[in-house]
Amino acid sequence: MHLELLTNRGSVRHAAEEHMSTITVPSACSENLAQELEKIFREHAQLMYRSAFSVTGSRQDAEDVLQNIFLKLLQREVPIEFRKNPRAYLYKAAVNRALDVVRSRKRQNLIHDVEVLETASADESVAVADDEQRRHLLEAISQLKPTAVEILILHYEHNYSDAEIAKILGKSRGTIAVTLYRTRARLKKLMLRAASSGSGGKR
Amino acid sequence: MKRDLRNIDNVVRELLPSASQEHMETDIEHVFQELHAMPLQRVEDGYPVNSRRLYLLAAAAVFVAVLIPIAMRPVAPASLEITGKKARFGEAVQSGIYGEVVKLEDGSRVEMKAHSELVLERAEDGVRIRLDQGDIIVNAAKQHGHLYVETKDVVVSVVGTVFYVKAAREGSRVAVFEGEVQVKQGQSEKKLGPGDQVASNPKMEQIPVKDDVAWSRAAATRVKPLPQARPREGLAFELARIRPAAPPPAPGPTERGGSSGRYFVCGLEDPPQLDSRRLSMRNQSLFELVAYAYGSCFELIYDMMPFKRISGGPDWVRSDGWDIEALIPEGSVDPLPATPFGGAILELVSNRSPKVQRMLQTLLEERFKVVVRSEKKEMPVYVLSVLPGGPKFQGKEQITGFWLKGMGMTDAPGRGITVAEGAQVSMRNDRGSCLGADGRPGPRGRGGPICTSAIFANQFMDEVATHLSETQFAGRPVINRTDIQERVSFRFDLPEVAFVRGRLPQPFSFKELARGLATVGLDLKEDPKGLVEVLVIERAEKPSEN
Repeated sequence: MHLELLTNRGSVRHAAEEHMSTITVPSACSENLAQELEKIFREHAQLMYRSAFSVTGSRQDAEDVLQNIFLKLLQREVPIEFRKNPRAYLYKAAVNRALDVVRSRKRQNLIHDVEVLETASADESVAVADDEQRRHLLEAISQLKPTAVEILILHYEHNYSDAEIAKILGKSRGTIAVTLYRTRARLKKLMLRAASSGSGGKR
Repeated sequence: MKRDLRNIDNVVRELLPSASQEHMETDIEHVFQELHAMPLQRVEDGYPVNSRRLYLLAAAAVFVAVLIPIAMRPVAPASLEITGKKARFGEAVQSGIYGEVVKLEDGSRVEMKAHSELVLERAEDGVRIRLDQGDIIVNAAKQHGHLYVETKDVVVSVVGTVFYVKAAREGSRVAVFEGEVQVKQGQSEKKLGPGDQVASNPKMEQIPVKDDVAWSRAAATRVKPLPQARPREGLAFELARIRPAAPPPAPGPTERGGSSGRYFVCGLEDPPQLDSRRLSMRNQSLFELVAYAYGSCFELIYDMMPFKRISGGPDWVRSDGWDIEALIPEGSVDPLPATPFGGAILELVSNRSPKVQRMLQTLLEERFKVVVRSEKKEMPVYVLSVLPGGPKFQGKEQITGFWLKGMGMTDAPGRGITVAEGAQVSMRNDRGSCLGADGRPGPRGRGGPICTSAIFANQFMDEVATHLSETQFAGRPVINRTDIQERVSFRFDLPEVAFVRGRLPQPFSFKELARGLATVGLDLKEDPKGLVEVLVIERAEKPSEN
């Protein structure tokens, strides 16, 4: 028994511009479920990884996010949202799981030890001030609503336009624009607060 | 205001971490490598059960082709209890990928194989388990009424007995371990006793009961061995080609971690490929072939440890590699489930594809002239028992809260995911580093020390003992003498361990392990002269020409 579902295929960055194609997602009782899930997962792994990395700032955490989501998907009934739009589901899951990781660290008073600066392109010349500001940024992002972060990452990391983001997330273009505007304002406020407290994220 | 927004816009663009393409591709590949390398038993239903014990069990079992039951007594259990939850009459119970144990209120137990589905229904004079698909082993309590198991073509009625029912597309099979059942198919009726088996479709091959219950984690302990053995059938490959293996290629650039990489997937660097028509193995030593054929992939893990469970044979048994291509007779094995963690080969290496295993035995016996003997060997062991206060297991719900990389999984504290079955060691906190005794984090994850806990989720004690035997824990065989028949879930903490990817971690000290186990009410004692079942390769010859 198989369900015909719609999903996007193709490169991560340009997925929104591509036409929808039909793939076959096995039903939960299918023995090929895991195999099919892996196939779909691989298609969207880069999107998920990039997003998770942007939220956590850590390669290790980004890996964990991917692994966690895949295993979760494998162990549970495949959610209806996934069946409808695997790409949107996986993207949202990656952002949300990454936020969980960051927030969990904060709960344990450990954020100051996190290697948020483990960026791929980090070189010796990266200023300490930038490091601190980046930490403030990540901490501020962790305080945003998940939907705001979803939009933020699609905009800044994946360089999607408002219209593309609206299409991906199934929202109106106006909603995206307004949310982005408010998110920037909120980010600025949170970062200013963090800078003035000089806490460096430590609580 | 606008200017402010533009500034924050720039700040975000400049500072938002962005992964490089190279790192991203490496890490994603790494994620899949780890998923594929994940210990087999967490993924699918069948924990490797000691096959030799199952042989004993099977030796006495008899199958019976069954049909409608003859009523025996009145009344019935009222509901199902499934791992603590109540299920209602009429609701389907699906066993998922790990299998499930269902308890009826009268004490009857139904062990479901993975991907099985049943519905509990009220019968006129009792309870009916409608098996829509899959395999179950029913351990029926003494009834006040009738307990029926019904498939699409047979009905079995029982009173206080242990039996097995398989509902497949082509028909049903019933086997009785102990007690008696009535089987009805259409108008025909038959009474089956211990050791009898029946298939509703003559095309269904009659096989030893052991082969059909190899998936059961408790088969060896819960089902009484029966006194008579069934003659072994000569299952063989349709065609098999054996060639000396070419030297293995140098490790590729994507290979990460230790020097050998043998730690992954039960030590399989190049896991055999298996589907329902073909078995393909590359560069496998005869030692490894014997492990697949007569044991499980755990033998390969054990072989890297101080104690070995397979011994004997000339030197080339371990040094020479062989490529094997074998054709499985069409329709002789059920379609094999593939997983992203190593494909259907899991069926073979974890003892869940007994027919293929038997074909491999035949091949080794015919072409390599292999003679393998099982014997009890005296060696230092640890004995696991229950402390006087009784076990203090936390339960499945309480052992979430950590993320086990490559070993199983959990989620953040209090959140939904339960630990994968069989999850064991190598755990760390959410941020990938250890929390020391002072609550401060230790060095970070990759290649450095990691926090460890032993986690056992929904397992039988025999399985727990098997895992404890693995090198990360004890480094010597652990023998289960707890008499605990239920699945249990528990965890205990262990000290940090230096973990180097691709290498077997050092075992914990006996004291560390015993201290951890004591926190859950289990006792671990040293026994310098324990008896452990081992395999001895008595004879082996290089294979004849194809």
